[in-house]
Amino acid sequence: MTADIMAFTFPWEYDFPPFFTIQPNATTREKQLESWGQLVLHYCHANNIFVADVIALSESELFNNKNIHRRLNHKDVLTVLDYLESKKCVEWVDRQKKQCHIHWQTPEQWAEVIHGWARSNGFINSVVTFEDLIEGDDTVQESFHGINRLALLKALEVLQSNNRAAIVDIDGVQAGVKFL
Amino acid sequence: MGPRRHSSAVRLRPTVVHPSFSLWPCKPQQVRFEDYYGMNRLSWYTPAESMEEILRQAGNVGIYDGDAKQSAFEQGTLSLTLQRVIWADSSDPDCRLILHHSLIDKVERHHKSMFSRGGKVILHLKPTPPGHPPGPVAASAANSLRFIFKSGGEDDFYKLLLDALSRQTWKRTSSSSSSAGSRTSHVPSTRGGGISGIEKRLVDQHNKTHENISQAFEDMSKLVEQAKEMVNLSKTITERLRMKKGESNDDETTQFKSYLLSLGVSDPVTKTTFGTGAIYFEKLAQEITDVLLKPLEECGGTMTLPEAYCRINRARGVHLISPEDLLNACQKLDAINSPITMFVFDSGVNVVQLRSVRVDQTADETAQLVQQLGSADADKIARHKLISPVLAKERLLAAEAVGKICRDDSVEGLFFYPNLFLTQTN
Repeated sequence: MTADIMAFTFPWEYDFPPFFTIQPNATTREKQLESWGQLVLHYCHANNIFVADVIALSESELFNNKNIHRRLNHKDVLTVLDYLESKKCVEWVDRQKKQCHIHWQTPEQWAEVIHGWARSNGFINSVVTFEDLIEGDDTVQESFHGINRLALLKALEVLQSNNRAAIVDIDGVQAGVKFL
Repeated sequence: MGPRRHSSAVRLRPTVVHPSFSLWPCKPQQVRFEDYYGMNRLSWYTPAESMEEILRQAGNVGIYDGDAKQSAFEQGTLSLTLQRVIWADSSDPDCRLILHHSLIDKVERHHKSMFSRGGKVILHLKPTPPGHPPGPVAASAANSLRFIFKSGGEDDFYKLLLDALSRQTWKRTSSSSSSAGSRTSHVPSTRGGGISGIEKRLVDQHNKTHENISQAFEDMSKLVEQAKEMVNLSKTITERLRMKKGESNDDETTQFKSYLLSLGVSDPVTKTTFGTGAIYFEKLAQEITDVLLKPLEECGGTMTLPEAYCRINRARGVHLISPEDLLNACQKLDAINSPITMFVFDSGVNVVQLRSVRVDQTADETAQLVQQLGSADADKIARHKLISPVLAKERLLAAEAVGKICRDDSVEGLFFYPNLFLTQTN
């Protein structure tokens, strides 16, 4: 996983001009959107993007291939993101679809990553606040640094249901976690 | 010459003559004049035996004998009927002359020139028959007459006169009237006879109508015959080209040959032979099959309907069919088990194609070509396959529909690529 993150390369589709035209043939389109979905998640993963601004993302190299002079237009970017939403990998922040959360890992995957971090850094049986997990100094090197609070909560809930963590309330608000 | 000398006599002559005199032809009279003169063929006016229809009238017409420059009949109205020419003097309504068509041998026309007084129609006349009724001039040195049209109108007159001469209607009426005349020479035959007279007139009328109609159709059939000749000509040339095969590889010759080869429905299916119903369209479908089968095989099995339409009508040459007829006939192709069938693409483009052509097969071919070329648009495919761009696009879309290729729609146009989405594995 870490090796993947470090050496991000665009897939072959990125240099294939038809990739930048949403295909009318249903079978082909399904395959194409799947490729796009993977590319977007990989790209966000590699660049640690949790919240994406759609306009900014549209202008980024992700949707623009200057080498072959092709770009995915705004409408089609939304098509790709909607596809990812249907796969529960994208959550829209606003109704205008200007910003979205991008879940490039499932809560289960995050649960593993976070628990692995706690284990290897000696945080088992101790309480860590959400803030420390998200933006604390100890997690700067971690992939979940900067994770969306909601996504974090979902991952921790997975751990809690497995009895590997307990979410702690501070002042009646869910604010910390005790790794078990 | 004649006219001037006799002019005074002419005026004095009674214009209404005794009926036994006037009926033409009648019993031999004294033959005082020689045969080879022109003016003497004219005779005094007598009423016609039956109703005469005036075909054309021209005013301000003079009659001149032979080459004579002067005439006693310089100004009058000329009337043309099916049987004769009637000339009436403008200043003396009683002075009227007739020339029967049976006396005319040949007609010439001369246009008005700078020096002439008007357009001329020259009549070359036959010898005077024995028993010719009396006329204003007893003898004439010339064998021709000139009608000079000072106010024009000679063209129409000339045409109608030729027409009247070619019909030779007087032959019938003269024979009937002569037989009638032998019995009752004083009474015109159609005037009498009560019911039988009416019947005769009806029969005459019927005959005339029938003649007119058959004449009209004669013209039509002549046209069709000529078109057939054209088709035959093209066939001969085709044959000759075939014999010469190998001698010339000229592009032009080859092209010309291919044009000719696509000609030649010698017996086109028409609505007149097969009506307008289902049978007509089925026969037409058969003809379409015969004409298009070979071109279809040559062009890869598919042809757009407009192209088929052009080919069919070029092959027919005459009796062209309408686009609607073609469409109806194409819908009958399946009914007659034709090796050709009509196919409608999703985009609405109609094509005729060989039944043996399968959509998936052409899709494969198209995909292969795209693969070879790397990428292609409709134009490129059209050029490679020698088909129309419309058809090329349809083929690309068909191949795309089955997932063989995928599209790249950019500012550069619509290009197609092999569908790597489905074939490429990561």
